[in-house]
Amino acid sequence: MDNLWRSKLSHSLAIERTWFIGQYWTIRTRFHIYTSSTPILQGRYLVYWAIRTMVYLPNEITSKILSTLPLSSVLRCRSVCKTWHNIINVLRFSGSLKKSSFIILDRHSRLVYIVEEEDVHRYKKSTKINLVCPHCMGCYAKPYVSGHLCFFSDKSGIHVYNPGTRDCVKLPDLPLVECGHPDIVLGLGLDRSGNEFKVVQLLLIGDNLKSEAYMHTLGSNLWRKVDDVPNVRCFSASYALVNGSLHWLTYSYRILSLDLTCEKFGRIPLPLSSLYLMPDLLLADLGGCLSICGSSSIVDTSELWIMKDYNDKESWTRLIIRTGDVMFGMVVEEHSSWCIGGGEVDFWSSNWMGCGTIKEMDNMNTNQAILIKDICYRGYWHWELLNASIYDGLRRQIELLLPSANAF
Amino acid sequence: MKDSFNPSIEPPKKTVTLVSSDGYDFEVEEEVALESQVIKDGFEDKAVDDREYLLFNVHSDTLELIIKYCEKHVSSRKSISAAAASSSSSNGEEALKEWDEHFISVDTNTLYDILMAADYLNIKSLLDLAIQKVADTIHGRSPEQIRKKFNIENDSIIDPWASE
Repeated sequence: MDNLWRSKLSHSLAIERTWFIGQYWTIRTRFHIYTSSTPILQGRYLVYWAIRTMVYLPNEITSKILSTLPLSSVLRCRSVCKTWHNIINVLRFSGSLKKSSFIILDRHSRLVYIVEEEDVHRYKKSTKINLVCPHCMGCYAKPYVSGHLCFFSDKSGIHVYNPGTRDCVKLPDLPLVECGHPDIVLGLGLDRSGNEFKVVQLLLIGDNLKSEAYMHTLGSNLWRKVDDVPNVRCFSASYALVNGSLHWLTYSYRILSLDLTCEKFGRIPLPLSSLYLMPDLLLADLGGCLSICGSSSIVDTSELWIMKDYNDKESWTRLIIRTGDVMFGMVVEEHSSWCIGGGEVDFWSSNWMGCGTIKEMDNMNTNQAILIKDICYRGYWHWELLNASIYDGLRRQIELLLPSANAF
Repeated sequence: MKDSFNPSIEPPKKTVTLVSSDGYDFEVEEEVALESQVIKDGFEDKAVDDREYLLFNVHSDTLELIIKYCEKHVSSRKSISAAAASSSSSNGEEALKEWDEHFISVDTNTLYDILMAADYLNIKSLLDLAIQKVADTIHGRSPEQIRKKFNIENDSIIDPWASE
């Protein structure tokens, strides 16, 4: 009975009044009368603004919109209005902005190229920008993480730099470490759980080389000490962020890992191979897998290993061996995408070799849509499937890239 | 008594009343209203004859569009799963995508209203669709064009990198 009354009343007594003031304002009122529930008369009043502008969107939605844009557009949006400028300033180091796919740093000319993928594997647009951050000058650039670089120089300390938005933050100095100049190895990573950037430095202190590790969360103001540091010495040249952990290569030919969420160290063995003889080793994240690339100018070979299942040493797989190419590490990221992606890359019109598309190299005029996995399976190239032939030199070059048969 | 049971007559569909900010009542089917996460969350706790929702932030013009969107998505989801069950080939998903694209091709003010309403009602697919539409509009435009398009007043400090 009570309920029936309520619904009847609320229907019959709903009063609607509408005024129009000028052209833009509409005030609409609706009254609700309940018989038994505590607010006896509930008057609701709503102001409706007829001119709508995107500035009035909740920050949350604006952030979402901006995070789907490529970095170059976000940069432009900074000068649209103050509200957007402020929102982007909040976002810039949070890791939620869309990352540029990779950054190429030319150490000699100090230029940074940000390469953005407009459409997967197809169109790449590179933006050339000057390294405007004065602190970064002359420093060796560490690998980028989500479009950010981490620099260290003796004079000015550690900086995190975003070349896309040209923002630079100086991290606080460590409290004075005794025993003079420690050996510093840096790492920058993105914590999966909190979407926060974390910077880690590993120090080797004193004559007996004791290891210490400190972690800094971007935006905070202090360095925290990390416990249980294994006493190892790491190469400072490269590190990789894979599976939420940072990885460094140690002098004892293992990989030291640090989980950024639970802040625990671990060790990963390397594959047994001729890698041990190679002086230039590089860790990298290839398609979400930890990988290591070694090259040697003495024996004139280079090879790439990838760990397909994380932390399973049996899953180390050799992808490519190549001879006579010392610059191998530079292009490794480019042409490994087709190995890992199972060959779902267009043979003619995508830059899977890392040196231009085959169409352009050979001045081909073909409209054939063929994927690499169609012509390369079980470790062999099936050239007869192509509707146009490519010249022998290029064919030999491609065959050199042949991944081992189990890569597919 | 032979004809007392006729399977072709469906039971009356349960409905929910949505009331827009300007006081219009919209009677929609239950599953259409349940596309909104906000309605879904408190749905079971509400008494059956009290299923009326006052949407103070949604104007009737916008609510009409939102209901149209939800109805389309509910019905096409049904037809897609029906096609999958009978293993007949259908391009339902592509057709829906096309419909979405057509649906969201509206003027900026309406797009703004849809964004706000989708956020308020927490309809994720619609919110994503509208966000993508705004992002597409921003992409490749200069700050001046963006301001003009979105009715934004120029109060910006000069950004030295804007020209690049």
